[in-house]
Amino acid sequence: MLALPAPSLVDILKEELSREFAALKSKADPAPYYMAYEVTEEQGESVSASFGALVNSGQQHARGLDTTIRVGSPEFDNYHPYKGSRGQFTSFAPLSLDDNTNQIRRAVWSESDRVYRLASRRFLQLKTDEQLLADEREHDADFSAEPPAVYSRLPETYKYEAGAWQDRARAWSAEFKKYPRILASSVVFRGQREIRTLVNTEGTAVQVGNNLFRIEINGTALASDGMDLGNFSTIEASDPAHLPSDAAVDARVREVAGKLDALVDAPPAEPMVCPAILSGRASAVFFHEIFGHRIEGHRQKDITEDQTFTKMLGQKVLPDFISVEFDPTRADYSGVDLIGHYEYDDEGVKARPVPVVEAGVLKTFLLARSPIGTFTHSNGHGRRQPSFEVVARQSNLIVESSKRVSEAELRARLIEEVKRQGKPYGLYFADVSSGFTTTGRQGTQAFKVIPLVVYRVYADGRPDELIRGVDIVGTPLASFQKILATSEKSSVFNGYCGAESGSIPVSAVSPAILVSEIETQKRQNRQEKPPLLPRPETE
Amino acid sequence: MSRPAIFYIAAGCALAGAVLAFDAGEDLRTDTQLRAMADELARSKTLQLNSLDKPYFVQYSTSDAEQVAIRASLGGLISSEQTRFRSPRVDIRVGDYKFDNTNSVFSRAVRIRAFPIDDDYLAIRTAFWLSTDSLYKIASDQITRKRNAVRELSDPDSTPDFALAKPIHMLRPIANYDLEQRRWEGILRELSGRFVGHPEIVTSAVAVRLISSTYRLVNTEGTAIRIPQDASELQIRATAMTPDGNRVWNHRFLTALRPSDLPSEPELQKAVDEVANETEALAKAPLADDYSGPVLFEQEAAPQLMAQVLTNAIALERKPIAPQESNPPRTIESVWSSRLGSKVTPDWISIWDDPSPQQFNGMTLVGTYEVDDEGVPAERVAIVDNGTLKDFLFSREPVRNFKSSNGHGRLPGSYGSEQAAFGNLFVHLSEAVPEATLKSKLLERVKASGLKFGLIVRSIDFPSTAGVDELQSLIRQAQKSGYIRSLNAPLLVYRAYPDGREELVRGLRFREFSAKDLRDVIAAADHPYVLNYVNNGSAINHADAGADATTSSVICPSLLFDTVDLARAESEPGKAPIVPLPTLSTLRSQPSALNEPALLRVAKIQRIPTHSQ
Repeated sequence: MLALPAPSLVDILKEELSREFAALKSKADPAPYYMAYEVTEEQGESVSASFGALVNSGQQHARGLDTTIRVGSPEFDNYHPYKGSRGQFTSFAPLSLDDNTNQIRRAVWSESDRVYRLASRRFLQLKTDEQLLADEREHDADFSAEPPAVYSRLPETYKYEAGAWQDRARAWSAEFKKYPRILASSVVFRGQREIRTLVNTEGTAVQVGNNLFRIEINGTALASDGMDLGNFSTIEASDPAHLPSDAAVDARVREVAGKLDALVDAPPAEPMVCPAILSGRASAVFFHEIFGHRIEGHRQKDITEDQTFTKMLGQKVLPDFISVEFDPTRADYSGVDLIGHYEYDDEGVKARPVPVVEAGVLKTFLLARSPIGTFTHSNGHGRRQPSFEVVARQSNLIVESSKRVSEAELRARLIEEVKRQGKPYGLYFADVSSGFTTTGRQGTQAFKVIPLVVYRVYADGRPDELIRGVDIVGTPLASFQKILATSEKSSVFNGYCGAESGSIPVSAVSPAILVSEIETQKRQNRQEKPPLLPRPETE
Repeated sequence: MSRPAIFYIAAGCALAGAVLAFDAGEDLRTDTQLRAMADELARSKTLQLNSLDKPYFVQYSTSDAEQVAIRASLGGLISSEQTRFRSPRVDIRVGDYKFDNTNSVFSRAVRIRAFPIDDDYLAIRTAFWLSTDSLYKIASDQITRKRNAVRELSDPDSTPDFALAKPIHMLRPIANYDLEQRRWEGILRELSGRFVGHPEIVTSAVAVRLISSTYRLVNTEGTAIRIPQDASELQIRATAMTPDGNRVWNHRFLTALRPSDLPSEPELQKAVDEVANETEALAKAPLADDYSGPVLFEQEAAPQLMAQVLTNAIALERKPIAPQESNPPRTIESVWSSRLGSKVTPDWISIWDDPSPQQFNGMTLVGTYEVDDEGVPAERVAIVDNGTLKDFLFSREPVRNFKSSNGHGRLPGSYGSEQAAFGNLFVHLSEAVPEATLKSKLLERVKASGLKFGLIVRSIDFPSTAGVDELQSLIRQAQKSGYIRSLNAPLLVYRAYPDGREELVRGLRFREFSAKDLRDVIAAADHPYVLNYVNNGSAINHADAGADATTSSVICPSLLFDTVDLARAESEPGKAPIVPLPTLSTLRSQPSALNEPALLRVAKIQRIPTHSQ
């Protein structure tokens, strides 16, 4: 039998795409004007351990298809936002892991049929509804024009020694055993290779991908008054050579565990309005949650959103020594891998750096192929988790400051500000958590930041005092306008951000910041009772 | 991306391979998991919160499992996963056997999530320590709320909450065997690839779930159990499109305990080809009209019917205690609940459940087990004796006058109790005729009733793979007609004409149908058919429900019913797809190397550097 070279995934998709598009354009009413297929393949390993014992060890490999069909015209199509909805058409249809032509073509055909029906139904409904929207102002076009792209770069493949990683996870998680007051804990290692293959009817054919390695360290405990406490830390890399040594991870586990144990004895927070320093990591999370989400393009179009920044284009939104840029093209910052890095977004648009704030002034938003006002083109930030529809999302958020001082100087200024305001102390936020940092690819915790490790900084020379249960009151957006100075060095925070288009990897880079005012209160205490029997020690 | 549902086998097993003597000398202490569980259990009896009740009963159980789940379509592998997991459970009862924290709307089981898969004594004990602590606090809260609710009721149910049971020791050796993931990947690629020869079939898939697990249980009454549990299930699914744009669906389930008990490859190939041919025929079959008349349930349709109607009929539900002002929780009552001692079927029919035989007529049964998941030895239960209802299946949850278990507590139930489920259910008809005679009898009835044709049902959607639309339509149809019990859709229905001709039809659904309709059985074949299936305890038994499940067998011959009502399914006029089906190519694509996971073009392979300590 003659062995012919098997067609590649890109070939199969392109062929089926043109067949579908031609047939629908000639026979369907309403006819599509644009179609795209994006196949995401994820292959990974994960290992998790708790208190020295393995809890989970598995391999995952899956491949699926997301389908985009647009009917109508770029000015008005089935994705037109209406009453806070943009339509949900795609679902992650499973595809054969090997390039099996038959299965892939069938799955593509079946999905295209299903998505077409949903698209045409919504489009026809919108056309009727639109007539009822008597007072809709001039609306933006629904789809922008972008040049096609042809590109291919597959990520490296790494072989895993599952046994070695299981042993590491066991050893690292065993560190928690030294702290008997820690009730639950885990150390998880995940390694994942993702490949995205995108073709569309404009001629785009892009195949890109990333590797991501992540170590997650997690612990929970109970204070004597029943307040539940937690501490959490992650380590990310795109290249396993960039993961820290086993000893360094060990040290990090000890740090998380030790801090959590100390929190058990720490006094609870009181309500307080005072100056504060947010560490580089904490600031990064803040900027991501409080600022980053507010400049995602789709929020500016949505009448149900709090459009804080929509009308502030060209105005000062941050102090004039602060600039913010989103740059997906950066793979690392000062030797730390940035996991929000990509070359082409999920609409096949080439990534590029986007200066969002220059010298405090808001210049633009993060944009996908959904035009807003004077912004008629995407800036390469159309992103999604498989099975979701694309919207503009964050990539690598980088905060730059022209008012940088040393750590010591920053601290001195904090104390100066505390004295000036006549407060008993200021606060130092060493570590915080949010929907951005928590594990599990779920949770849309946009705008919410949970302090984990916070200290009181006294003006009278007393040593810093760890406190627990700090809750930030209201949105600290106002605090950001009260940034007084920043540190010299920046820190990187990598994590998974959950929002309308699902969970995606992002990063944020920021120096430590000094703010003149932040308002905090004591977190509500659920008053859990500690275990009645002592922890089992030995046989 | 969602993972395929992992099913948790609650109980039931066969002794694997040769019969092994009960190893009375096996010491519980040499099994690390059992030792850790027993040691922590001993402490748990001392738990006490303030002046509240101490626990009077604590039970720890785990399913220690390895699972392989593979899915393929048209020769391509969609997913293949091998997972190792342990699924632990803690049951705590406070109060006493007469009145405890269960059987109220406040009672619910709590699953422990993260649990060590290493045999690490301390880690296992710690996990049970924490779960016991939080469940004890929950149980104390539950019983307080229950007491408050009872105080307000004028006539509360005084049935005891927990039946007494004798403690037993049963420690079987664990047999480890390879689930042969790679081999099954190859088999599924080949089997699913056979659909390439059937281009009219729109979607198709072949999937397998192989699970090998060990069930361990210890409780404060002194019971200690360790038994192997296996389940292997192969599914063949296909759908096609009718000319009027509707979907037809068809499937075949092959269920065994060990993978080696599944049919041979040639038999599997034959099954795939049959499903494919049937599905193609269904797509071309005419729509049937409403029908009321004699129906012959042939081959597997008969035990499928029995499994459905008897699932609810032979397990009594208990109403949980609820506060005065609340809405009573809905339970589907057994249609036989008040018929004990009465005739429920013709007197030539007997029904019993017997978990002890391992085989029937050369076929391995899957509902065989020695001890249920509460540690109660399995019993043979005579349910219907020559037409008279004698008994039901019970777990340790007392219901009405039934105060003890008959060893059928096989699935987690509601409100903190265990649910009764079949082991091997036998339906025996003492008046039986050869299979061929049954069809003549059908045609006789057809003529006598003045009908143009009768119906033969050869397969019912059980377990069910009905889509969401179909399930919603079933519910709507039932609500409109005012009944709550029916059968799942018949998949293969044939009109049988007086001249012997048969014609496949589609689009029928059963109307109301329950165990009461067993009175209408007028004849049976002499050769029983064995149905082995994965049982999740519900009458519908949807295959994708992702619930806890066990394995059951129903042994029943073809049955002729005097009158059964079927109606044409309500269906929206479908639209045929605008784009024609892509042609299927018979050129085999290269399967990926068998011992590496499939990868696209690879740039470089590196070892992850091992860092020095």
